[in-house]
Amino acid sequence: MGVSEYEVRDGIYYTREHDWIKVEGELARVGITDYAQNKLGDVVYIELPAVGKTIKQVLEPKSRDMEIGAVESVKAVSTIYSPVSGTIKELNTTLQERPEIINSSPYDEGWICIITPTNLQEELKNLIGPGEYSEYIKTL
Amino acid sequence: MEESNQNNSATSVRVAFGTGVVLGLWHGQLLESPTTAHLLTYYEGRCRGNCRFCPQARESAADLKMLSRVAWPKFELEKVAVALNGNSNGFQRVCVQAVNFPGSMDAVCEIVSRVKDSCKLPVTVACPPPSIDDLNRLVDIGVERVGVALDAANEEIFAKVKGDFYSWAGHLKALEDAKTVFGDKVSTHLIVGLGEHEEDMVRIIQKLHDQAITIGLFAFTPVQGTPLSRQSTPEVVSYRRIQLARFLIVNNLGNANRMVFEEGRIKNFGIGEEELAKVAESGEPFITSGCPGCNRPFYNESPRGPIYNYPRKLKRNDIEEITAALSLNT
Repeated sequence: MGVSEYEVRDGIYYTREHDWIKVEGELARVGITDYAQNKLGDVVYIELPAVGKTIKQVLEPKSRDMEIGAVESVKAVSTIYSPVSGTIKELNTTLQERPEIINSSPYDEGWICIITPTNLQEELKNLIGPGEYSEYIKTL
Repeated sequence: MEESNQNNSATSVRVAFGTGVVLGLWHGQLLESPTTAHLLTYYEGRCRGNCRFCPQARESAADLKMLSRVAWPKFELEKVAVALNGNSNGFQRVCVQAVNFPGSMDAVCEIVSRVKDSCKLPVTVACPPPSIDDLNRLVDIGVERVGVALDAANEEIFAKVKGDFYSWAGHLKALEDAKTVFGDKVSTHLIVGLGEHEEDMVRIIQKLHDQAITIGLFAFTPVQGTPLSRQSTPEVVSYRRIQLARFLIVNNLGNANRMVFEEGRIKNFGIGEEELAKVAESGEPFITSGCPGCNRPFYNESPRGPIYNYPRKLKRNDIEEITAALSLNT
């Protein structure tokens, strides 16, 4: 599914903070959306969390324990929020050497981390699907 | 033999990334918007100068679209002019910066003329040391302010960092010439962290202020591909002391001759502790300095910080952090 110039992938869930999550068995792979990378511009740095860090699903009001890390362009920094609660299991450390992969491949090679979720099925209900995300970004 | 100036046409111009976002030339996210529209002459080759920190330098291996840590993509001058005509409200000034190449002043004048046709913003030209004729030409086409970047705090550092092509005496003369033509509308840049002591920087700030030259303070920024790419940025607290000293001097609240230095470092600012704390508490000394209306967001630093030059009014927690680092009583 695509919306004008922004790719919106089927089969994954989204947050209104422009993060995506793909369920892979009992794990969840996380990244930022094509819309997010496009608005940010050239990514020059990514702040990754530590493996083992506990994080909470992003809800309002936001708090620091919902933050996975941050992605930075030359002139801006965007916080990466966690779509689900859990523990950071694995990081895409390639991004530390080549942060630009987030721009070129936000849904594939540009994945950011893998989470072991603690309440996945319940928390998926708080996320939105590709159709609703597509409509959401049209309003921005 | 006259040098070829075939590349001096200003049909193209480089536009600073943030400027391009505000003008609607391309997409991008900005934590802080620039208040000056920054343009740079476009040239297919490298600068004749060889300043060791500069990506444009003759012997630099850096990407030619870089100036400091910022990308300045090439764009059609006509489209930039149209965009300025429609989107100049967010800006307080236009700054046209010049690389040193054969015919660069012609390119500068062409850019300035298109800018002046497009909007009513005051225009600064920041260029290599201009001749009196060039200065008069700039006045005639409506340039409001001219800048010649001294960069170094003293002759010794100038020779090391810029001396391959320029001279300290030549730059000082250019600033004097600029003053005879532009009066008090003359600016310069000083870069902290090129190897000087704080005292060196404070004394040159005093000297330039006494000549009514406006000072834009910069923190040295290592850029990949330049000879100084591995040099560290200045210590933040040292930069803060220099910012504070600059503010006191240019606002005639202090003088370098009344400051006390110890091994080159500012030990005492030469004013009462209470007054000093009040000045620091205002946050004003730590905001970007230079031409009126120029905030240069993240020109010297990552938006993650630490921020050397705040492109906006400081928040309470910024001020508290700075005054604590400076050990000022508040």
